[in-house]
Amino acid sequence: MKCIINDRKKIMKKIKFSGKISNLLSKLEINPEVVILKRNGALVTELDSVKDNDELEIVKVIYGG
Amino acid sequence: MMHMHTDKDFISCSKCRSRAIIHLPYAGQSLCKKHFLHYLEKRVKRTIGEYGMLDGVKHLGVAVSGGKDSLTMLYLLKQIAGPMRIHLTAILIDEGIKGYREKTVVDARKLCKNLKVPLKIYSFKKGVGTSMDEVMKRKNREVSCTYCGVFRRWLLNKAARELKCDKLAVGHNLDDVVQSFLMNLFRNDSFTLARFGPVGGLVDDEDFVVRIRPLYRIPEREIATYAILHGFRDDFFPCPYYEEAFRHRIRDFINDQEARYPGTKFKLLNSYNQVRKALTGGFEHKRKEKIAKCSKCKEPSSGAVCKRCLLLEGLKSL
Repeated sequence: MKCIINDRKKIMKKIKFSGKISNLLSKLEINPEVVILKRNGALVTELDSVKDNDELEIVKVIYGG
Repeated sequence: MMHMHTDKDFISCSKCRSRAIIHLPYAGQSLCKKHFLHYLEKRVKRTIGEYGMLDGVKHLGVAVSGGKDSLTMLYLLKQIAGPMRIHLTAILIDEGIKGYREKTVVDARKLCKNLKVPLKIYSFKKGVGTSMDEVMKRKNREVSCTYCGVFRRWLLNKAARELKCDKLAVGHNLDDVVQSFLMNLFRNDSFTLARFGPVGGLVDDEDFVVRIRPLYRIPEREIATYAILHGFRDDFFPCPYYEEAFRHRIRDFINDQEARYPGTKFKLLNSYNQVRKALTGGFEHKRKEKIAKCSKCKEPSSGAVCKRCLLLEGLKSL
């Protein structure tokens, strides 16, 4: 699947993964509390799942300052 | 080609069968767009009502940076204060950070125009005497957030008073409040700890415009979601000069705890409210004290010279 990590700048990664997004986040060591998730452009929860041909954008929203 | 998800592929809203857009572990529920917007708006209205934030207000200043928190706050205040015939003025402080503030000013202008709220912009350079870009060039200075925080508070208060605002709304959210709570506990700064409440500070003075924090109970992630849903912001970026390492560590610690033990932030907020009540009693004498005026700028100050003037003096000697 295509995973875009949007943390100051967008970094695109091809990842072999299908399943619950929360599992992907823990694999990537990303705290769900600091991000918003877009699956194929639409907001979803970390309890939703992704399939191998999905695009998931992980938008970091908590920076402080 | 992107995969199209079928009805079975999504998590349903806990209130209806629609597709959920956010999961709130502390509440044990997931919400669709409609129910999430309602849930957040209800909490802000309740906070405003519970603390009498808009009581007696005819003209409200709204501190707006153009970031997710302040744009969400402005939008919500317009919905709530508009029908109460409260006049709003958005006040934007331009710190003079090239390539950063320009972007958010555009968003602030756009929303103010849509909501028909006048926008007043005050710059550090003109109002305080220096810009953050100039501060950052100094060697052996304090951390950037010290200057920015002190200068911003000073200029916001002055601007709100000159605009004859009865109160000033600031966009601090739940995360900001609980971070400050822990930071001031660790620093043993009980005076600062006591004054970060939902309304005002510890000192009543006619030159101080009372501050209100309508987003006091809203987690930062939910504000970002609200801002995305309304199209206020779809990108989020930190200040390039942000270097408050202590807050950074406290923030990460709290978010780790929240992920492990959902509800941690609200529990911290409740603890803070109890501690604040106890502390405010201890500082009650402060409320009646006549506050000093800075001998240099004549603004209210806890010492003979205010922090803004002391920091400016310090910069000159670097």
